[in-house]
Amino acid sequence: MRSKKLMLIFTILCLCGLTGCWDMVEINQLAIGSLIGGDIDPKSGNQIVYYQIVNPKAVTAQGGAGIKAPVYTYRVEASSIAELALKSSESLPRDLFPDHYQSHLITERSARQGLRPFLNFLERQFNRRTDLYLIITDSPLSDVMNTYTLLERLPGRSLRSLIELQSKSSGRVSRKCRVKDLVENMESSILTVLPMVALQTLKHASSTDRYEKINANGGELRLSGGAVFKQDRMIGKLKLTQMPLYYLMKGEAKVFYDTVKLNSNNVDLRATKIKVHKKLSYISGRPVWRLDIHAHLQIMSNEQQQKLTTKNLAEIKEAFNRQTAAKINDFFEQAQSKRWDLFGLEGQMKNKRGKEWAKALQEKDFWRQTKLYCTINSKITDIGEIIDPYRGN
Amino acid sequence: MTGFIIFFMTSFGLAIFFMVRMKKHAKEISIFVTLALIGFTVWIAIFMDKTINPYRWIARVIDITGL
Amino acid sequence: MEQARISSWQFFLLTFMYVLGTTFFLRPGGLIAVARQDAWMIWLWTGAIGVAMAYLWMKLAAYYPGLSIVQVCTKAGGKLAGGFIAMCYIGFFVQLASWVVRNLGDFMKSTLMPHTPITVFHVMILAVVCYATVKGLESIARTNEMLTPIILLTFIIICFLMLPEWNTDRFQPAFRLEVWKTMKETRNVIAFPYIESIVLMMMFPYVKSRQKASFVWGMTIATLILVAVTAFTVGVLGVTRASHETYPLYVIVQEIRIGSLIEHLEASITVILLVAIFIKLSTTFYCAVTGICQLFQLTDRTWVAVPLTLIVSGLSLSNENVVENISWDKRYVFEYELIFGLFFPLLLLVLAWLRKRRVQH
Repeated sequence: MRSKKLMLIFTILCLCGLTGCWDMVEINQLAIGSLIGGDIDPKSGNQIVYYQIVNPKAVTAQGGAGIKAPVYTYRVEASSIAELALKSSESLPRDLFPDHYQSHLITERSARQGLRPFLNFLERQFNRRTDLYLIITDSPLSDVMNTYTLLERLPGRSLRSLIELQSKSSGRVSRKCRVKDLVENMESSILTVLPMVALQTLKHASSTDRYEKINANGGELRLSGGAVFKQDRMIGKLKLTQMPLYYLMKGEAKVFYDTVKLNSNNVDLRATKIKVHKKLSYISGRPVWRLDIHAHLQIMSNEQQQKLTTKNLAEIKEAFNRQTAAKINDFFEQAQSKRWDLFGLEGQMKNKRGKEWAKALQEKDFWRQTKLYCTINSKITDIGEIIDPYRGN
Repeated sequence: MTGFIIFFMTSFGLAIFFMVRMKKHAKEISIFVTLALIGFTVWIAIFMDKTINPYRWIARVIDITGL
Repeated sequence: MEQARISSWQFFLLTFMYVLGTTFFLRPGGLIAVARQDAWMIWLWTGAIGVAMAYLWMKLAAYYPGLSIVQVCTKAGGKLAGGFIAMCYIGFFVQLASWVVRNLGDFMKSTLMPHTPITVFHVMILAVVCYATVKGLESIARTNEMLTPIILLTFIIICFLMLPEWNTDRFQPAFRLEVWKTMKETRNVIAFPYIESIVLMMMFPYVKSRQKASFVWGMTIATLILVAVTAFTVGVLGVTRASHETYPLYVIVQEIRIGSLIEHLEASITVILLVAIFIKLSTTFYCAVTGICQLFQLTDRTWVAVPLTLIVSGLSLSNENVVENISWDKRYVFEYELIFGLFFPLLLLVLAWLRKRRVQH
């Protein structure tokens, strides 16, 4: 009996030490951040941040109960990054909750100045994740952050699904465009490519009236290419048409689209199950990078006016292989001429053992002498539901 | 600090009372008292910002002996 | 002395969890900063040195079967000198306990609960550990036996969830280690966790059978797991990020994303660490308390355990921050622990051998 009383007193004493009290987080007191936009004022050098905060009542509202704004954007300007978090509490009536950020937008001018302070700040916080998608934009940030998106009403989520879906369906972007993918290359010579988005500004897109209009074009965030980063600084851009080639050569592409012309007719092809074998070797006094790509092709559209015979299929395959190899070679030469080591060749050479590599590495920019040998092997495995195309008039 | 001193004095007093009641040996009581007082000293030093830091002494000894 | 008996399997698990305990969480980051992509190799030679030292300690224990290291000190060294060495060991165990407590407090405060005062974590875990110590070695061993498989299973599942991020290129260039230079810079790994396992020599008398085999196997399997964890950290996180992070394993788990629904799994690794720290701390604390009881021939652990929590919680606040801890660990821990792991045991071995010769004559 006595020991039970003691146990009870002891348990009550323990309950008084509930540690949740200090770190208790009441969900109604949180400002859940969804999309963050970062910019630099070129004149004053101040950091500008746009916080897009989720409005929980609108997100959970019933369909016909009147559409309220799903997000609100707050603009904060301060002289340093850490001060931004402090200043945000001047305008935000709730506690900023950074744990749930979906994506992070950075302007091109801010990226060209260098993202080192931003990356250091992000990595140091315990509650900010570095597996956020990092996206660059060359459109005015105030327009981008003050635009309501359709279908996926939270713009942060919209950007996130844009990247995740496009990486699987069009091959124009890879999922490895997170903050941590940039941080990983901070101390090496490998270049990182992050996706770029652009906005076609629409007047009424900053009001919820937008949801009532049928025309969904304009005012949406589109992929416009890639931003090339050397460590933490943006050094150039890639066109949207070059992005699939880049990912193909890196071996990260899950799908690749191309159109070949045969007998003045277009044949649209979709390559899947892409396997890329890369090998860097030293042949006759220069480095040689061998790229062997194997893919399965699917015929999406065939405008030819002849039967689809095995001979025709072989012609299609041959045209695809030739055309893709040529495009890859062109892209590689363009990158070499711009001194962009997009595929980490310099790093790979430094890791190689052997006298010839050691000798060669004493030369600066030795990697630019690399010759690319690219061979493409494809198989047409899916011709679609019809075999021979219909012949018209 | 005052809160800690009050807490310590109360629980120390209670413990001594219970130990005497349970007729514990003098050796046990003296070890308990020694350890409790050492703990008390350590905590008072913390409250007065003069933390007892054995790491610094060890570092000094190792530096002097040149290990 | 307590009449506890633990089986060889329980002792194996205790050794395993003791060596693995906080090591798997705290050591890989520092090793990767020194040895980069070859960091996993360091465990191989440090483990070998640890096992060699274990054989030295077991040789000492063989001279006095059925006695713990504190009792061996007084038996071999006499009342004065042996007593002094025993006090040094007890002080060492208390210091170890305060280290472990501080590791927990630092981690919880910097990652999960930054507003909570650090002493709250210290006092809470010490209260539980004090209770476990009072209950005795058998309770600790049985708790460990129950918890270890659960922890290991959770840990393995987490590792599988992060495998999509694995990239073998992160190990390039491989095998470029400067062995002697790295051995010098990573000598602190021999101290924590291997020399610290001398604490387990307090439990030798309670193990029913096959103490040597369980001890050595416990150390060996823990070493292999540590090799795997370090390699996993390099493969998933990469050398750049792992060498900058304070807790790389925590960052790995933080970034697990299954589909678009399951995120924020870091609480699971926190629970694993909490349990591992509990086992390590209860072992160290129990051995410190038992040491005092054996030295002064006391029977009741309660009245030693309670004031010791006060001392341990106070000592754990010695360092201001985790950087002080890391820099002290890098420079001094090996030399300091060598006294307890090599110098004292050798001295006691020589004294024991001399006594045996004198008795024989």
